[in-house]
Amino acid sequence: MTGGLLDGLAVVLFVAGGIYAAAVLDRLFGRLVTRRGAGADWGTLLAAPFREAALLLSQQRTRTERPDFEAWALAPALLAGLAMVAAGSVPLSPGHGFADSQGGIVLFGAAMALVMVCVFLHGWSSNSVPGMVGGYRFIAQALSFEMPLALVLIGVALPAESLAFGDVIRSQAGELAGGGGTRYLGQVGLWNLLRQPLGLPLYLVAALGVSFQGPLRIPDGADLAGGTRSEVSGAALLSWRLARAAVLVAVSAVGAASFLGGWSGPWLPGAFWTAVKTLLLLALMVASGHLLARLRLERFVVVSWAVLIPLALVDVFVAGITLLVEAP
Amino acid sequence: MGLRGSARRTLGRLAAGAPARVFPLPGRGGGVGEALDRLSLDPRLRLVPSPRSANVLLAVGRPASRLLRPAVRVHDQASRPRATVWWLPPEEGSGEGGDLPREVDRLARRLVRLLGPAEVVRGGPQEAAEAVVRLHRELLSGARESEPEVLPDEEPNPWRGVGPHGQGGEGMMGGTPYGRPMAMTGADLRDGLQLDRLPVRLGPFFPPLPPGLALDLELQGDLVQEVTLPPNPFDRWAFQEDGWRGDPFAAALSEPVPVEELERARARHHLRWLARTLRLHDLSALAERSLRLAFSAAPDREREEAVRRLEKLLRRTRALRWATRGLGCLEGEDEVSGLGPVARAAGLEEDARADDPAYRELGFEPVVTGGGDAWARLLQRMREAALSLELAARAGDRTIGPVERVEGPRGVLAPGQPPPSARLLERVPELLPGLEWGDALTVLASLDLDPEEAGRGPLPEGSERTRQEQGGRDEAGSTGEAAA
Repeated sequence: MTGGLLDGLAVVLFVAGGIYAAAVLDRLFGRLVTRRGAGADWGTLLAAPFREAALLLSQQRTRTERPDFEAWALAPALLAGLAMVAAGSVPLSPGHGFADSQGGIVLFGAAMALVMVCVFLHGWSSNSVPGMVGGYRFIAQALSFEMPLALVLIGVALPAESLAFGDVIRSQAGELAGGGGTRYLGQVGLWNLLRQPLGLPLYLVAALGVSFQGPLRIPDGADLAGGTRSEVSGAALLSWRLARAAVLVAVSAVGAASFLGGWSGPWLPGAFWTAVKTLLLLALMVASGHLLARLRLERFVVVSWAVLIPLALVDVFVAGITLLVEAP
Repeated sequence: MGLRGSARRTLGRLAAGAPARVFPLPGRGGGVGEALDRLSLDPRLRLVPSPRSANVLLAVGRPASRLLRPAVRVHDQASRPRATVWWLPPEEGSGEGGDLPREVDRLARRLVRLLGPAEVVRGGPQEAAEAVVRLHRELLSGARESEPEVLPDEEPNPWRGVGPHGQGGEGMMGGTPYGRPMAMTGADLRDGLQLDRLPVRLGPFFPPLPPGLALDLELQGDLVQEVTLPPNPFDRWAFQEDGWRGDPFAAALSEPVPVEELERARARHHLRWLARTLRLHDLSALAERSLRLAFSAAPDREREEAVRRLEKLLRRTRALRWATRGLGCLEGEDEVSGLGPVARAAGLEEDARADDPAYRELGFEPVVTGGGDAWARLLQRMREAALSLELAARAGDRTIGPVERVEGPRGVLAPGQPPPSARLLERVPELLPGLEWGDALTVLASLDLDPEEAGRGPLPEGSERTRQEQGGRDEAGSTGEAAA
């Protein structure tokens, strides 16, 4: 079901809160890994994202020679839009989905596929070599993780007998969309983390890929001196970083809905549980950036096509087979 | 004042609390790298990977004349409001800030006047950080005007295209028509297919590369087809002995140096190298941890424990291993002999320290890792850092020297021999072709190159060095003290 203006506002606030949480968690994990005394300075830690945003806003934009101005301006805006579409397709609490349509999973998949266009445009428009190399790298990276992403989402949709995220969440509580009782083994009311153990790890790899975070920070890597963002500064850089963080929050929310049961949880309201589970996945992905080195693209492409896709197929087959066996 | 003015003031106040974004422009001087590393630990500023996101440019040390033109171009790439700070850290062995350069040539002097640094700072990292932060605040609050661009904002050669975006036209394939490198078809390395090759220069201030190193690459996509090295900007070092003065390893060739000091310097060198490599692999938090270990004042035993823990962490999280395994294999005795950690990582058990009686007393055994690739070199240097700290803890009053051959952090230093960096630089054009951009930079980082050391030339012969040391010692009070 789809909701009204208030639900839309709720999604925007959720994403904004998630972006701030991601920034704070990034700094927190950085401090922990550096062993710099994590508990020392909470005030600075909490204010730091705002200070940095203010600093970026006070920088003026630079110009390169003959960039593609329209594409350069479009890229962060499109990325933010796609992130909002993805975040909107997940209901945050029962009955309050903004765009929880019948084809939610397809909507999410389509939005994430178009991220490839955004990142490529961002790198290519600046008319400089590191940006262009970053853009091309992301195309290779994106083509590699799209298939596992699609397959694990299909695996998640199978027990729910529906492509809507709301139905996926309800299926993890043992309820079916049509209202009838569950008959098959694969529909027992467990989180998909437990019912389809291969799903979440594969999903996390794809989520890291689409938000080019952590070990898959390949288009914006340090070896390209920032890659697609090497020629960007000021408000343009701030909007790119915000958009990317929004994608990160959106994929975390979808992961929480698909594998961790979404809004279901005891005593407290559904929105709270959604937020907690999203935050958990967010923390996991942000922490991976501080402990895992950036992967080599060639290696990642080979592993993705030769290992991850077969694993994702196994995941789908297992999900399918458990739907042929009657529940005890 | 109104809403807009007060909003801008709040913005300015908020922004002033954020770490200042600084892009470093390292120059000549043996202590420049270390001074910059110490500065980077200051929480009030952050060294950024691209000049476009920086407001303050920090030129450190004395300029090399070949680096001034690239420095001016980098200056114009920094985003406004921008300012330049010129920092002259205390020269090793003299204990005071160096003078502004007198030996730069006429062109360089003109460019220095044009670049016109807003402030010249002499002193340690603390003074430099304060100057940078103060300048940054002034820029944000509007108290200081942004520095204008130095180079004229016009195209060096007018673009002669046909379409609205300047595309089209004839005769625009390959070479550098109208001053711009263009892609030209050429045979690919792997299978001879005719694909586009683009000439690219990774300039002397490219952060993933060692400071001063520039590469002229022929890229096909992001695959390196051909590498040539432009002339070393630190090559015309007028005073050779000036380059090696203050280096504790070179000092051991002519006078006794405490083993403790030497091993601490070695550990510091390797930990600083580790920080650079980890930053290249997007592990900036671990890089900071390594840098803090390098300059920490904690007892050597504790530091050794911390280094070993860091090594275990890097080995367990396999991602770094995947990123470096099998790259840049350098094996073969005649290729790598005498190249210190590179040789020992290839499996050769050679270490000039094993010949020295002081080390033999301490029960020194060289650490050897096999494999010869970038991962082996990474492990090797980490283990050598831990070993050095252990030796330093146990060394007591023992001294080494004067000796004929000394084991420096990059390889063997002997009078009349070229420095190890020079030998490694020669290998670069044959190591890189066929690698992807990221892999090429990984290999370069694993070699621990230093164009500044390579440009110093061979070490002076023993007796001559002692005479210069005598002269230097009389002047400055005490030499052979590493900048601690």
